[in-house]
Amino acid sequence: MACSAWGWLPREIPELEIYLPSRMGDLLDYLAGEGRGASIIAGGTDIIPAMRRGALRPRRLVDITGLRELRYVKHDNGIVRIGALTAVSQLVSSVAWLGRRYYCFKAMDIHFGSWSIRNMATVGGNISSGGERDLVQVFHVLEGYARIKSREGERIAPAWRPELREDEIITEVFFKDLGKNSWTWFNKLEMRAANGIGIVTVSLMLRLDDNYVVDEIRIALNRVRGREAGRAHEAERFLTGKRIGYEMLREAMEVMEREISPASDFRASGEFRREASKILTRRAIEAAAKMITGGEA
Amino acid sequence: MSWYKISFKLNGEHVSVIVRGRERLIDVLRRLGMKSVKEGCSVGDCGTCIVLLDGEPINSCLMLAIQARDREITTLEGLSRGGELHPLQRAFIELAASQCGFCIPGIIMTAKGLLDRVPQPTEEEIRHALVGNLCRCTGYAKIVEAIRSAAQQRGSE
Repeated sequence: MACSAWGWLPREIPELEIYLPSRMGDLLDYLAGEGRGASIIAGGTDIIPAMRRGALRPRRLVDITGLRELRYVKHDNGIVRIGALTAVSQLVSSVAWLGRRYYCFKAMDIHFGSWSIRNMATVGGNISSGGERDLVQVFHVLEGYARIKSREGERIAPAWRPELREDEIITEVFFKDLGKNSWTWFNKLEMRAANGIGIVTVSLMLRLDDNYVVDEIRIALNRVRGREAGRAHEAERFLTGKRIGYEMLREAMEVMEREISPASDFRASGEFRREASKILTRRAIEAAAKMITGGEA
Repeated sequence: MSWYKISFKLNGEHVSVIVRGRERLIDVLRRLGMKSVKEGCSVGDCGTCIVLLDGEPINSCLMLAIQARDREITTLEGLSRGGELHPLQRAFIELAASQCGFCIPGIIMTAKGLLDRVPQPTEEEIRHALVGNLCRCTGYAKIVEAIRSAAQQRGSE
């Protein structure tokens, strides 16, 4: 493998004890009791490389893939609910019945790893890993919430910042259905055509009113300040209540340019990321507006 | 040291095997003689370890063996029937689509997953499915051609 390119040599996964719960109650008891501090494995696409890098050295692991009741995407009285063990590929195919406005999920078919990775990686796993991961940005613009369980009970937290305790687990992500005249977008600039790590990712939710004026817009970037992912609130405020047009978008991107200060690293400089963020956001807004209006705005 | 007894279906047959907690699926499959399953990058980038899990391509280097319990695994060894090669294998031979051959088992398993789902894929669909399979001999043109040829052959059978 390309160890030298990655800068690390793979290590053996350490000796592990594995707990295999088949019921949620057993899992919560274990995490709160003898399994305190255990790591959780679902799809394995994050945790196995982390163990092989030596970044994570758990002595106990909980394999939750037996909790198959956590694999679902459903629409319940205006709320979209996604089980934590839903594979990303399942999320992609749900767009067929969930509605085309959830293009942000469809885009995972292009930007989220490869087919085999999408068959393994789970929604809950991506959210729990956090940081610049793709679904974290997507749920930020969908204003998704994570249902988190522990033996003590249940709590709800923003899906983009669940801040899990070691005895807690995400069981579901849910958000309010966006309704008509709305569209979502996700785009990623990466070094490879696919299966790469994003230099810049942009997630967008756009809702226009009947006169094609921006009713609501949410923009999330993988780096807003430093390495911190987040929303471009000033650009959102600038755009709200305005009609999408070339000049207005140019001004909005100037607002965004002043608002964000992404960090540099070996993949790209902060300056490049800022420029790329503007371009990707502008394209996302144009594409979403076109989809809502059928090309009229 | 922790050992676990698991059972799963491997290429259509039930197997029971004792695995260590830390063993990945690729480790156990190779231990069981499935040497078509190759270790390349170890992090899910190269696709040489791809097998089918309940019919879907997955990276066996990113899954613990214990997670395969009660599931169905198909490797390249499970494709031929009674000495008869699978149409994909035949097409790869006929079109000389294999160079060094290291990546080919993973590619054929991805292609199998694709053809089971989309019997007559376009070139674009084939290339999209193969995004996670790297061929360092860079023989992609022949590989895509072989997959199309196998699809056509299956369609005419």
